Amino acid sequence: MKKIKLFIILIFISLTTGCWNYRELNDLAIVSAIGIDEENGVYNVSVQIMDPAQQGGNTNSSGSSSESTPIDVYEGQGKTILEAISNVLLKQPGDIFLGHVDVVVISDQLARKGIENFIDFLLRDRESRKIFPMVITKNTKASDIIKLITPLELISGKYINSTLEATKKNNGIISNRLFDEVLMCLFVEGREATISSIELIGSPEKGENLDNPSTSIPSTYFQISGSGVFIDDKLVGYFDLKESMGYTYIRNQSESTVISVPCDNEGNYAGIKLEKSSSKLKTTIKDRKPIGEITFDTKAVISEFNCKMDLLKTENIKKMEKITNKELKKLLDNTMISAQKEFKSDVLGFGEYLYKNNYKEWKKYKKNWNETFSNMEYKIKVSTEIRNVGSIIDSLKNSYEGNPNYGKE
Amino acid sequence: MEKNNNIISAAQIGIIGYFLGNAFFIGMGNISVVSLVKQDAWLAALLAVIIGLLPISILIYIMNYKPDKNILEKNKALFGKILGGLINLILFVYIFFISILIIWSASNYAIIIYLTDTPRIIVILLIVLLVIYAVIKGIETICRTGQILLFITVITIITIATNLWQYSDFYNVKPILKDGIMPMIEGSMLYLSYAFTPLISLLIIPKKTIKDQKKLNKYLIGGFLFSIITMVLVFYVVTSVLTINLVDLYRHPAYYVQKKISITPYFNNVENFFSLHWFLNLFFGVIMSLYFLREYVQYLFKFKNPKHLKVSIIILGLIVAVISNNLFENGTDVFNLIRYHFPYWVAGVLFGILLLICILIFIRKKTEDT
Repeated sequence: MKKIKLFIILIFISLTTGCWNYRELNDLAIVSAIGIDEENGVYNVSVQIMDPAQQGGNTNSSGSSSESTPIDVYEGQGKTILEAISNVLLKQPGDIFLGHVDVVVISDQLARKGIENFIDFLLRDRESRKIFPMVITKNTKASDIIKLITPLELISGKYINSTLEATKKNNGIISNRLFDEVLMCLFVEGREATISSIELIGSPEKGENLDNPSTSIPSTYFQISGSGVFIDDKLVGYFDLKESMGYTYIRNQSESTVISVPCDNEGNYAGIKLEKSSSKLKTTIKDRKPIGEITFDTKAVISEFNCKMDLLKTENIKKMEKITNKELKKLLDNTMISAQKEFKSDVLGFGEYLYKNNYKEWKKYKKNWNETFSNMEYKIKVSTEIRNVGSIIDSLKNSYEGNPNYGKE
Repeated sequence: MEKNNNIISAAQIGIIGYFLGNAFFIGMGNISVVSLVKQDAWLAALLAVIIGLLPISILIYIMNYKPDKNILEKNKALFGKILGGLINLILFVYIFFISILIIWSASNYAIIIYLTDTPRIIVILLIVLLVIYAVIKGIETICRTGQILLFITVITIITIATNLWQYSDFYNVKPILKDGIMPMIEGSMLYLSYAFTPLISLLIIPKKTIKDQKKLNKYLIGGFLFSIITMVLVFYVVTSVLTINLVDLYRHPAYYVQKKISITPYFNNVENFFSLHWFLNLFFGVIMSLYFLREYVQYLFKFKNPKHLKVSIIILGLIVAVISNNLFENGTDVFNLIRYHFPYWVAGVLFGILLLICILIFIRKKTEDT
């Protein structure tokens, strides 16, 4: 009896190790970035596969670094994304593993046709983690971005991911939409989606070479260019950097940002760092018409000041607050005008507010909401509170003027 | 085999009640409730805290009647040999079906989340073999296991909720009751049909075997309500983080939302670890169903040799495994069954039987008093 029990326990142990799904690391093609282009109804999927040997700083027998790239890019074509990825297997032996995808890049052309058709695969796939950022390439193919060899981090997927995250955190220009957030925007009533956009500067061919980042200024590089604006699942245009920044302010997604405001009439500027911002968006119905309201409050620090103004005087601080309010209002206004008049797309979520807070009224407007939004009146209230003037208490120019030796040889 | 004299505590029964209350909400009941009431699923579950007092009171009322007998013996005493036998057979068939459904749900969860390439029958057999072992060991082992695993479950749920709270936004669960209160009430009834049905298997435990019988009502109500409150929290957190549109898309939204959990920069990608606690609900759902079936077989055949009972449990378990593997062709069939047929033809009928037993007990007691 004991022998039978021991036999059963051994069978249990062998079955519970999960070996059925076991895959050797060397057999996996770990994908760090996916690029999706489309031509004549056929998807062209570029997968950037990490080469762990090269990434670890492989050296040859002479002791110098080997000359091959730490990434391999393969392309596959198909009527579906799954078919295209399966076709990559015709070119390399690894089992495609999507559990470590750092970024998904979509071409402008494909985004304009609609993204709903191909995101199903990424959503349905069991291995993909669904929290990677999505970006749109402006004026270039997604595959060119995927093939790019970037400085500091040779795996461009990771590099794009880190750049997007850092821009979101320190610059506030983009909101860095993750895949699941894009999905939320696509499905939510009364709000359209935005996706961060990047563009390639330089020649795509040179960007593929390992010596691309070897110079102090890489010959080919990418940069964040703003945000793509959608209606339903189709790209209709782009917010530029300023409009994109206004968008993150209104959507309350900016963490810490910097703006330059004029501080005199001589063309000098002050650098204001917005540290804690909060935005409230509201839609009310007045005379059977929806009216939008944006209330933006921020706590700021003067981080750079190039004017002759005594910052020890309270009225000057108040003056700077007023100027900042005016600049911020202009910024938010430009974003609103662009969303309303240029794209007719409620990416800001005025409709969503109505849907969530006044469902009865929303039902009246939901059919042609984007049209209603494009003609909607709105108010913007901005309130800035300057809390600090940095590590020096007065303007440097002002201090020079007070110095009796100022201007003398 | 266990000795049937004061071996389990009322608290342990309450704990099993907690696990059973959530057994149908892993890829089955959750989809059904969310598809009906959308972002108000958490409110429907919250309302179930109040409405749920009715079925749990009926369960307790039946348990309190003739505490030395299990439900099968009570039915025989109440309805007579033939009708009682028929009702017992109906209960057996339904509990058998419930065990098939829960095993399918457990295997599906494991296949989607952990063991993507493993054949379903292997996953089912792994679960069933463990369940058979627990059922052979008896109710004391089952209850003690539940007691130990409750701590793991509670700590896991608290960790998940506190970590996800930062992503939670009340705005995402709005608009509240956009189509009025009726869909929420309907959703609440639907919720209870999944939450309460597995608890019927607890009737197989005679109250007399519980050492602190007086506390049973309190613990059983507590366990059941705690299971509902847990689901209120789960529905709320998942919807307020993912938004209803994604919750409606995923079969296991509570698993996908856990991908956002990050405990310090060094402890990420922990969704598989944290999702294990759902498995415990399924595990106890299957254990208690099979335990019910075991007691039915014992009641029917009155085995004197414990080995015969063991063999019958193994055979029953394997039959459940094979049927569960082959009955449903795909997840869509199961969803349609759970959403459109289960609440009426399984939960409704079982609740009707309990109500009938309850009324008969009431009449019997009245006549005994007079």
